[in-house]
Amino acid sequence: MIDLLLELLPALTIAALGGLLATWIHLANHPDKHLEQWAARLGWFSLALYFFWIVLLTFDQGQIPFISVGQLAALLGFLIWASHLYIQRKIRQGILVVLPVIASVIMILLSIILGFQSSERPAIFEGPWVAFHIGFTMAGVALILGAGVYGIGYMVLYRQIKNRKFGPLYSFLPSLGDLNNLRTLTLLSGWLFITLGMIAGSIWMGMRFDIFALFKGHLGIALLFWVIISAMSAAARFKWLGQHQLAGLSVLLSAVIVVLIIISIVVTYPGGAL
Amino acid sequence: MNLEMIGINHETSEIAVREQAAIDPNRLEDIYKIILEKPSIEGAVIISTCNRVEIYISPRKHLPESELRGLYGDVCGLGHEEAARAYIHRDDEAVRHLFRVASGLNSRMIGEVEILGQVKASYYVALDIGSVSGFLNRLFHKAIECGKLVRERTAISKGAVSVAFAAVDLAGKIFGDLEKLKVLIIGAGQTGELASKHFRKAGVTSWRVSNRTLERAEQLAAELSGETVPFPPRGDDFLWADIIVSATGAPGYVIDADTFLPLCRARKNPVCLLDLAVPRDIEPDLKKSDNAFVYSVDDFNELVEANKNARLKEAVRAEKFVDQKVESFIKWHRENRVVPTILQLQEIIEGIRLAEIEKNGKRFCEADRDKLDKFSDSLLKKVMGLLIANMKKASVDEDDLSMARAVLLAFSQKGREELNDILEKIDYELSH
Repeated sequence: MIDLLLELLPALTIAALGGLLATWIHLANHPDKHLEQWAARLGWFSLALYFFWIVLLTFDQGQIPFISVGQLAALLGFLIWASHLYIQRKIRQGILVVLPVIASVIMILLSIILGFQSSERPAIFEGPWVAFHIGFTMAGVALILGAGVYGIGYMVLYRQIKNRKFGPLYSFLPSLGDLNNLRTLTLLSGWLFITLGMIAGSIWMGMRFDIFALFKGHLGIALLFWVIISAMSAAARFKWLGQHQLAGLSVLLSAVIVVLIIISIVVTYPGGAL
Repeated sequence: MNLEMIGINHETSEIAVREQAAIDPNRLEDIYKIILEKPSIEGAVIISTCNRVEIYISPRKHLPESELRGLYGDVCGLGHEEAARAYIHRDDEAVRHLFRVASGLNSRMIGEVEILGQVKASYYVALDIGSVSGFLNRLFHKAIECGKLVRERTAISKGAVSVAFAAVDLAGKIFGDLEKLKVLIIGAGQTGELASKHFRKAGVTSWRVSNRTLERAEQLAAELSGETVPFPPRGDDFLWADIIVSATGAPGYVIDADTFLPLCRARKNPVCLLDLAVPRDIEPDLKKSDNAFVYSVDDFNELVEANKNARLKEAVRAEKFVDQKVESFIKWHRENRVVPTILQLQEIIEGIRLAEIEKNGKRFCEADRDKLDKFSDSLLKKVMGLLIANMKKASVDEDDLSMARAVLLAFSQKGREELNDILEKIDYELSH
């Protein structure tokens, strides 16, 4: 008997996203407005399917969907895809759709490999604030990763335009202006979510630990990181830096976040320490 | 299929001949009258643009080539020699030609957008005059549909293919939306004016014009609802603008690196410097600034060339869509040409059925007569269904009307003159 939650729904979601990926790779070589419209619809369908799966998983297990590493990967993949689709409504979809789809597919595959079941919910994961904290933070991380993707797009196109290379990427990528707007929007939204996550986390930790825990270990790094993101968001919002420099910084920030996520998962889950 | 077309275009005739052949829109009604006066012609549509003059005709019977060329010469005012150079396509090839024209595959610039509008306009004019036969109506509808499909499903019309358009295209690639941008035009000559027209079309509304002669600058600024600034432009004009188009005849640089590079570096937003002048007006060293995008005529030529190559690649895909549409049109036509036979057959058989019911109906009671009616109707529909399906199959798959002919002959009756007309048409198609 096929398990709906652990086999059928993840398989269907991967199939939908896989179909989408194949369609966009085809579109990169063969522009077709008609097919593009269908690809956009498939994108929203895959998001709905993904959402349905995550919600069912949460209700079925009676716990927030990030207790195990597998659940965490599934949720992050969902947030990446959801934030991408939200942002993509601002401009016509282009080649940038490929990277978030790949990221989401990898996250689903990881979640299947690593498993969805957790042994037991630790006591510290009780209460709404932890859910807000992790939910907001992960949404923020997904958006800042998105800003990194737009930053990469900007830098690639910038080089093409500056070096007068009018190849396929030149015609398929959105304009530098659009990429810059998208990057600013994702960065500012990411900063907002991360700030909300920090506030929720502070309340949660204030309930369970003494306030000095905020300045211990990796929490100090998290605070430093928030300051950097805030400074970058302000620079983007008030145009303290040029578009090109901000794009480079976004890419760097995303790369650091990816490394930190991996470290955080390795440190937190196997040791069970927070 | 009874379709023929004759025409000249940019490939077959030089501009002087095309100019001579071009048809004055005010004369169109008279010209259509001349064409339709010929008893062998059912309908006609003329497409007359700067690159082609083509006449599409649906004749009752194919016209001999000499007659067609003679007609073309008369209509377009061409001599015997020029008319002899016109190309002629008939039937399926004429359909393919029109579909390719509407798709921009037969244009001087592959993927040209204007031609679809011109085909549409020509069709509507002919429709107003009343020269479009049922067949041509369907043909032009499908050709326009094909043109739209090709542009939607391929990138054949994408990318600028002229220098002025390429400049707008490139600025669009840098800034995205051009509507809120500010443009400084340096040099109000022909090139500057043309570029400003393209930018205005793209939505730009904020303008400053700088020209050696103030009078000319004021003239262009008035056209653009902008303002004039001194020549050469000052630093604050440079900082004001997002896009600078320079097209002067100055022998040296109008925007030199020593003065303007520090200003470029001081900017937070990018500036796009489009140098359309030869010799160049903008010193290339300005591109050393991260914020400055500097392009000269050579760069635009490169972009235009890249776009042309991309269009050529897309043309291969576009041809496949045209093939599909042509095939579908030919299928429709082949199915459609057996329709008169089917209608006659239905009429004859229904007549026989009703006569038989009338004759034998008295042998049945009232309730059974209804049943007899339904039974005979159903029986004959089944038999007819088989016959029709096979006639259509032979016509579509094998382009063969002999079955339709045999059926018609088998059911022919005295006093049905219309059958002779249909038979005559079938015999004509079979002989071709």
